[in-house]
Amino acid sequence: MFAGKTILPQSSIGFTGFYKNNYTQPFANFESNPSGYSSLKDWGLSFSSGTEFSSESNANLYSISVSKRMKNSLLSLRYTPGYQKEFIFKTGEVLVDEDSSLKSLQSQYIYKEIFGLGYSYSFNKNFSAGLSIRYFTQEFQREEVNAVFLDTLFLETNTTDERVNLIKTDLGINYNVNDNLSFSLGTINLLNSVNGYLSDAMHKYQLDDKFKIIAGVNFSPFDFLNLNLLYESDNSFQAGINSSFRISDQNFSAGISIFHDEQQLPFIAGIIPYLSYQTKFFQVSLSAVDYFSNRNKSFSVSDFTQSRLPSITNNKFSFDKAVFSVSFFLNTINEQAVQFIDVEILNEIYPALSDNYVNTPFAEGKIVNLTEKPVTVKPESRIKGITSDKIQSPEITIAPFDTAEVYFYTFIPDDYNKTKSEISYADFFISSINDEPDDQIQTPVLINGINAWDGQVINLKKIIKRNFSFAIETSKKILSQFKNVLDSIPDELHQFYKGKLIFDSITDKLTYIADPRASAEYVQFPEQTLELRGGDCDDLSVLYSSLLESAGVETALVDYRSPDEIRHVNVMFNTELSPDKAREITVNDRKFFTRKNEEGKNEIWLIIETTSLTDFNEAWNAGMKKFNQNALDDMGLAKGYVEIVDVN
Amino acid sequence: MKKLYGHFILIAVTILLAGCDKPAPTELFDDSDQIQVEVISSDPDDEFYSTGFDSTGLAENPVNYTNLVTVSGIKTTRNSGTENMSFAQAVFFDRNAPVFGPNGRLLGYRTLNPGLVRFNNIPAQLHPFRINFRGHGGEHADTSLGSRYVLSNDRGHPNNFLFPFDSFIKFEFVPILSGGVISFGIPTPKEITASAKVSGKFSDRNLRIELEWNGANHNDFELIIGTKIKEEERVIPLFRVRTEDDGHLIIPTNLINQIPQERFNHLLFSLVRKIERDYMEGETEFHIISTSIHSIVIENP
Repeated sequence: MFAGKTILPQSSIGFTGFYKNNYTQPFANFESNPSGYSSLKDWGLSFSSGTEFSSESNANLYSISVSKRMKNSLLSLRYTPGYQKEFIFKTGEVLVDEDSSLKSLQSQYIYKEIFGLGYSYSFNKNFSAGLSIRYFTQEFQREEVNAVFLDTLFLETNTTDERVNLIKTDLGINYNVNDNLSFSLGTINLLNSVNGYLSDAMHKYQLDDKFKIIAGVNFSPFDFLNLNLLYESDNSFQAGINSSFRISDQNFSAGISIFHDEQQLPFIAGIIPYLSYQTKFFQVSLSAVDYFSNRNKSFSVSDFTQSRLPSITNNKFSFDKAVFSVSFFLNTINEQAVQFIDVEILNEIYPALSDNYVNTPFAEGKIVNLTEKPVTVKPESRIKGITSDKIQSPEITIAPFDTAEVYFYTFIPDDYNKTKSEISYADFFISSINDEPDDQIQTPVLINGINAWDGQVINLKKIIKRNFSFAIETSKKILSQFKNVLDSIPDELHQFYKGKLIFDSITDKLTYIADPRASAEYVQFPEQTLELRGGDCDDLSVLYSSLLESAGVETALVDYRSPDEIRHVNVMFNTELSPDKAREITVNDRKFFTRKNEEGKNEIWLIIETTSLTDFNEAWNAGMKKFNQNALDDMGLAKGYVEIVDVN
Repeated sequence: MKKLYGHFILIAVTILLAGCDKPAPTELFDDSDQIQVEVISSDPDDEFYSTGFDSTGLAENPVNYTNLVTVSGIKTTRNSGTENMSFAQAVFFDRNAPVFGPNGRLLGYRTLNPGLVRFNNIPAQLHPFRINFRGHGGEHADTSLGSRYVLSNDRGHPNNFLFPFDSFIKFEFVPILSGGVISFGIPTPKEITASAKVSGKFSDRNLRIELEWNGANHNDFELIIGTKIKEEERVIPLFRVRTEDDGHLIIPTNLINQIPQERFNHLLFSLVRKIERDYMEGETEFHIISTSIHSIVIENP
């Protein structure tokens, strides 16, 4: 929760400050925030060094810490060589040697915090919990006068060295109400484990182990301003105000805290000012601790034994300090630059219409650029059951902090042949820098069976052309039977006779069957219609058009859309005869339709009612009759409820 | 990125090198009991000290002085109760007549009886002045150095002499031969009344003695720690502890718990307020010691 420098009230030590802005709260603060820790993204490394202004100023390394984020967990390790406090005092006993010289006996008490381990887990963006484990050593060396009775009697100094190791474990929780307000609650001296022998007389000199609660609130009324308060259950507290600002496009923050400590005078025992500079990769902080009382005065042993030492670095014997720290953020993982807002499936998947999805997106995503720079996004998708690999869609570039639509295209393999519809899942990916996606989302998608059709006559073209080799083979077989006929007629009539011969060849094998599937369009592939020996107008039209196309006859579909949504399809084919040659096939000028080819030349097209499975002439008559009435007389073509869809 | 790592290493090394000191210690001054401990004699069998605590309650070596005047108000507390005694003595040594022991060590000087001595107008009596020493074979022996002028008020010697605490004793010396009467006042310290709290056991070597008395901030105050030799009446002074006359002292445990229990049993603690000075009249110099003593005997602690 904190960065920079701070010193916390009473038992909580610090040298990490209150600091919150939009950028980073890099490092864990073991003492007051074992739960919230930080928003570090990957690795972090920190050094802290300082100077104490005692009677002899000296500089020392306070701490080295390393942190690593692993998804929702954050682990921190800390080595604190500078967290130590040593007391030297004369014990009051003076030894008079044989030569009458005086020797004062002294005691030395050394308190050190050596290592710390912290762990926190973010359950969600609002709540996290954590624990800290800290290892201390306490060493008590005392010189005592000792009488030795041998041949002579003499006094000697005896040094008693007692050392105990202490492990402190504490827990904490952190709750973010929103981006501006958070609360934290932690323990102090929850579990203390002491290892080592300590005589009864020395117990009172150990570090304080009284259990306490520390509660904190952090409030940012504005983006550039942060207010914070920490309170300990023994009535110590710390309050601070921090501000972040930019100078020449660089990020700075500054702040000041005051603290009250139950064992220190005056009531406000001191202040902690700090200044910090931060970039994406590192942070440098400079802070100071200024105690309001004179710390270079003499203290008595009675002062020391009044109460146990609550903290090694912040106690009534601590000196003013200046602290410098630097933190490095080493992100080996890419930061998320873009994020999905939503994905919508635009169309059901019709595997038979595979070509459609190469040119028409099947899904649309709404994404946002999270960064302050333009980002080029590579969208990809993968539909379970259809594609095993990700299919890339066209890249787009999004402006900083902007949203955009991204479209997903896909490809249906030719060998897809599932006849049943199924609900599957489509995975969508967006990547900004490299192959590792910034975000991904999954959405259910309906995959129709291979025979499903969306009811758009224009899409029947895809079915007509699917497995074209079958149509070629079948039409060849049919026409080969009539080789003699075709060889005997003029070339200009070949197209007409192909249409006639193929139709007559298939009609005696087929029966008209209406589509029983009321909920979805179902169209048979040509080979299925021949195998099943029947079908509806769609199936028969697909068969006939496919065979004609494979035989080199240009075809089109006539789509009749009645106001009551009943649809019908016929096939029209190009005889390639010019209108002046119409008499070659008919004298009734209402039995053909003239269309211009690409060169602008008029050609005769015949409309065939494929459901009229008697013979070609009957089908031709029926087809032309319907066309003349609906398309021409009723002006269906002009009004749009009759449409001619060229297969090619 | 390489440049960044390079900066990182440079800054890290700088911090590590700059932080080689350790935090300065905090020095505390001890406002608790200040005591100065010395061994009275490294050889508990020293010839002089084989007298132990003589009836004066003192452990002074008379070889240092020519004319010695001592006055003492002494209380001794045992399990059976407290006895009071007043004692005054004057000893005149003939520095031309040293007395040596068998090993050639100076035992003292022969005494003189040059006149009459009175304390508070009460004449002092002549008593033999004997000192003990070790013979050739280490055996205890004694010898007389002569006589000394003694005035004491105890069970064996009832008289009117009473040591006046926090007052003066008039000393008079009337020489037999030439010279006039030498007279001066001897200031006396305040009376000491002490008690001892005992916890633990001598045999378990965890004996703890806490002394309390009526502190008077007297500038010459000391405690003599002694012990009684088993099956003998002699008490040997072992340690002199100088401390504040503030009315409270916890005896350093390592002093008393190291005493060999096979040789010694009872412990003796003598709190002494002393006024010591020299008086010169003409060519005659007197060394004067005036003491208020309370001795507490802890029998078989």
